[in-house]
Amino acid sequence: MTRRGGAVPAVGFRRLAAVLALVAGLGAACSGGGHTASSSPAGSKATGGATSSPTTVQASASGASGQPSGSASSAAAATAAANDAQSQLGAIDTQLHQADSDVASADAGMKANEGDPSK
Amino acid sequence: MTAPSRTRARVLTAASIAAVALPVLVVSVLAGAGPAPAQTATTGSGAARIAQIRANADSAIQRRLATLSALARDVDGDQALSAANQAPLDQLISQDTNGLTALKARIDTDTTYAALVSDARSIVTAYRVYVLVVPQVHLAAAADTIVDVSAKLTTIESHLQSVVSSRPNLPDLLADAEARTAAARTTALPVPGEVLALTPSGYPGTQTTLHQARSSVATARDDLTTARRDLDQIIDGLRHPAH
Repeated sequence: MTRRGGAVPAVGFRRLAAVLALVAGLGAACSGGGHTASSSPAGSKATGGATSSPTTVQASASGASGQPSGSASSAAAATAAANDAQSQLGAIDTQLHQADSDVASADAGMKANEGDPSK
Repeated sequence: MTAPSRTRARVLTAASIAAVALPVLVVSVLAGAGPAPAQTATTGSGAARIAQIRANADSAIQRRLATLSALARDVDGDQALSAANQAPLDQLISQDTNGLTALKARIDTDTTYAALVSDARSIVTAYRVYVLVVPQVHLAAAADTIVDVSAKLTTIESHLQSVVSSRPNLPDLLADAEARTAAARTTALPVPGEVLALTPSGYPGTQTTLHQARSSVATARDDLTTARRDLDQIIDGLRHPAH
């Protein structure tokens, strides 16, 4: 009993190890890319796969290669630069109006009649 | 000037002189200021005249103090004003405020007609608040604002440099904007120093410098107007390449 009992566990462990190895291999095969991508906050199960990030999706929409074309990229940069410049010009215009107001006040001063309080 | 208008001018001039001179003569006689300027005038209409001058002087000082207070608020609230120009402007305003406050105390206690008249006149001649200080502060502020705006426009222009190169006409517009912006800065930069160097004792010669400074500010402002218009066209060209 003791000997049989001793042999049976040895065989059982080898089989168990083989089964575990098989399960581990299958698990690794199933986890390739898709599982990792879907775990990313940016990914989604609807798009799935490596192209699930918004940036990549947008790039794919811009061109067949997945990257924006040269002209599209240039146009986007030009528009961004124009918008950035425009956003700053509003405050600059306010300052220029203030300068105009200062000049008008200076003009009024230079034309002033100071009078003579002694009379 | 035609002959009739020349005649009219002479008549007006004579009338103006009479209008100014007659009351002075009357007041001098009434106050006894003719033969003895330092004489104390405390009787009759002379005393009334002294009270009138004192009231006029106090009122003139109060108006100037209010103007200086408003100027101080403008200077302290001007975000574009550089520290290098803000400090001397604050000092100028503070100095005049203190001086006029002390002058008011003196006028209120002047005991002779001559001293009162002299002090009352110095409200104008020793400070020139309206014809000198007000333009000094505002021209310095305007010039400083133009320098500040020029720096901001230069930054915007440098950012646009890389995106205009492939667009027809835009590089030329940007080059013009850059040149105008640089010219505006060069023209406006010395103005605060020029006007802040002026003193009341230099009046009326100071007005020549003020007018030159005013002209410089206007030229610089025109340059910025052109640069600003160039930038509008550049922005439009970048957003609508087909234009």
